[in-house]
Amino acid sequence: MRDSLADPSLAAQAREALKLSDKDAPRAEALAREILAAALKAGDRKAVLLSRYALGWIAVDAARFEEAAALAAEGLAELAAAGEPASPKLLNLEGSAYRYLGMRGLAVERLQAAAALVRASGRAEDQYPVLNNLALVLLEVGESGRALELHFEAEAAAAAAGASAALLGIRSNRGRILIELGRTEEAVPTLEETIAGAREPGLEPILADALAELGRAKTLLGKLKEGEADLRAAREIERRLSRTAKASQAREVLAENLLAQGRLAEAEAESRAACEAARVSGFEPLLSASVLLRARALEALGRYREAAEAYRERIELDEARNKAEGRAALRGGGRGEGF
Amino acid sequence: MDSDRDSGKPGLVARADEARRLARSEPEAAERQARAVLAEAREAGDSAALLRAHYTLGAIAVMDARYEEAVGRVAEGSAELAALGVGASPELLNVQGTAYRYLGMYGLATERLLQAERLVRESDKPELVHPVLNNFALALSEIGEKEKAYGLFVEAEAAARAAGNDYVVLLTRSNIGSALTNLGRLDEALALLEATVESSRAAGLDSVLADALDNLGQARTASGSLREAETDFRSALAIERRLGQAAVASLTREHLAENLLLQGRFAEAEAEARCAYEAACRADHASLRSSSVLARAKALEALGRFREAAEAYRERVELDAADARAEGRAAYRELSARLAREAEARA
Repeated sequence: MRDSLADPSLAAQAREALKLSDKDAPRAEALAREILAAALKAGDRKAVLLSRYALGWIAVDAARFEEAAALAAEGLAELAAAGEPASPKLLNLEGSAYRYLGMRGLAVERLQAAAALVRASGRAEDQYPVLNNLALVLLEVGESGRALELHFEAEAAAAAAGASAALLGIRSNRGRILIELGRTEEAVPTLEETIAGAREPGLEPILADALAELGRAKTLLGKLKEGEADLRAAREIERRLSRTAKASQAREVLAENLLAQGRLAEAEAESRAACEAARVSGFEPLLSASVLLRARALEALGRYREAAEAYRERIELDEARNKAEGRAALRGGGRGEGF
Repeated sequence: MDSDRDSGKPGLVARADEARRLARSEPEAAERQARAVLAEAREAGDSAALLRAHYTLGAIAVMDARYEEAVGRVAEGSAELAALGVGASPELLNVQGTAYRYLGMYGLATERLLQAERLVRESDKPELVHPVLNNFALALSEIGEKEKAYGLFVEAEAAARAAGNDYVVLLTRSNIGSALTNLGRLDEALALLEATVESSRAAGLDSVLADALDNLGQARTASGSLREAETDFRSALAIERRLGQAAVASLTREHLAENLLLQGRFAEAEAEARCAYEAACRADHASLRSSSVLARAKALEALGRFREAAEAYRERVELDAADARAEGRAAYRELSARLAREAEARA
C-alpha cells in the first residue's frame, strides 16, 4: 500500500513545516499556509493534501481540534472523490482530533481504519503513532485490555523504528493503561522509570504527563500527600510550557486528590480555577471535565444549589458535543472509508 | 422486486419480506420467520435473502427498542455480506443509523444515514427513498440541522405519497410539523399537525394519531397555549398506553412534565417525570432513563429541592459518560467484525 502523502518532493516541505512547529509554531503555520496557497494555485493536489496535513497537526498542538478534524476531513474527501484509497496519516489526524474533542465513536472508527492500513503497510514508522492513538481512545471507551495489547504493539513498532523520544512518550501511556486496568501498583514503577528518563531538556511534556499520571496513581493508592506533590509538579511544568489545556487537566486531578484528602474548599478552588482556564482556552471538553469536578466539590461542600447548576452546565456541554459530533459526521460526506 | 430477481431462491426473499410486513402486528412470529430465512439463506449462500433477513431482524429489534442488539445484528450482517462481495446496503445502514440515533450516538448515526442517503439516491429502489430520507431527517433534526431536516422530510413525504402509503404519509406529515416547530414556524406547524390529527383519527391510525398529538402538544407549548397542549399530551398518553407503547409513552410523559413546569405546576411535573423515570428503570431502557432523569432534575430544582436535584443531574452525567464510552465500543466492535470477516474471506 502506498500512502498519497509519501511523495518525496512534497514530503520534504511538509516535514519542514511540521518539524518547525515544535520550536516555532507560528512560523511553521505561516509556512504551511504558504505551501497550501501555492499548491491550490498550481492545482497540485498532493501538495494541498500535505500542507493540510501539516496544518492539521499544528492545529492539534494549539488545541484547535475542530479545525484539525476539518482539515483532515477535507483531505480525505478529496482522496475519495479522486477514487484514491484513504490516507492512514489523515485518518490518524482526524481520529486524534475527534478523540480530543470527546467524539469517541468517530475517533475509534477513524483510528481503527488507520490501524488496519498501517498494519498492511508493514512500516514500523507509520505504525506506532496510529497504534498508540488507537490504544488511548480504546482506553477511554473502557477497552483497557485491548488498549494494553495495542500499547505493546505500538512500543515494539517505535523501538523498531528507532524513535527514542516517541518510545518514552508511549511508555508513559502504559502507566495510564495499567491504572485503568486496576493494576495501579504496577503503574507506579513504570511511571517512575519514565520520569527518570524524561528529565532532560526537550522532554518536559513527557515528564509532565508522567508526573500527572503518577500523582493520580498515588492518589488511588491512598498516598495522598505524595500524589499531591507530583500533581503540583506536573501543573508547574505545564504552566511553564504554556500548555493551558494540559495545565487544566493536571489541576483537575489535583482537585480530585484534594477531595480525597477532605480538603473540600481547596478542591473547589482548584476546580474553579480549572474551569476559568478552560473557558479562557475555549476548549470545551476540558471545560466539561472541570465543570464536573467543580460540581462534585460543591456537592461535597453541601452547596447543593450551585452543585445542581454546575451539573446542569455539564449536561448542556455534553449535549452540545454530541450534536457537534453528528454535524462533524456530515463533513465526511458519507465517504464511509474503512467500513 | 429487484431482490427477488437477484436471488437464487426467490421464495426466501419473499418470506423475509413477509416477515418484515408482519413485524408490526406479530413481532414474535415475524422474528421466528426471519431467523428461519436467515438460516436457510446461509445454507443456500443466497446473498439477497441474507440481506433481507438481516434487515428484517434489525428492524424488529429497533421497533422493540432493542437498539444495541439491532446495531450488533446489522454489523454482523454487513460483515457477512461484505465477505460475500456484497457492497454497503442502504437498508442495513438505515437500520443501523436509526438504532444509533435512538442510542443518542449521533456521530455514528449521522454517518450511517448519510451514507444510506447517498446510496439510495444512486439506486433504483424507490421503496427505500422514504424510510432513509425520513430517518436521516430525524437525525439531522436532533443535531440542530433544522433546515436540512425539514427539506428531507418534505422530500420523504412526496416519496411516500407517490408510493400511495397513507400510514407513512401521515407519519411523515407529523414529522414535518415537528420540524416546523423547531424552525419557529409555529402557525404552519399548528395547521399541519391539527390536519394530521384529524386525518389519522378519521383513518383509525392510532399510533400515528398519538405521534401527531404529541407533536401538536409540543407546538402548542411553544406557542404558549399550555392548557391545550396539556390536553394533547394526555390524549397521546392514553392512546400509547392502550397500544402498550411503553417507550413512546415515557417520552410523551417527559413532554407533559416540561409543559407542567412551564405552567408552574412543579409538584405535578416532578410526579410525571418520576413516573417516566421509574418506568424507564423497570424497562431497563438507558436512553429513556437518561432523558427522564433530566426532566426530574429540572422539576426538583424548580421545587427548590436542590440536594435531590444535584443527585438527579449527577445520575444523568454518569449515564452520558457511559453512553459516550458505549459509542466508542460500538464503533470498535462494528469495524472489528468487518475486518475479521474480510480476513477470513482472504484466508
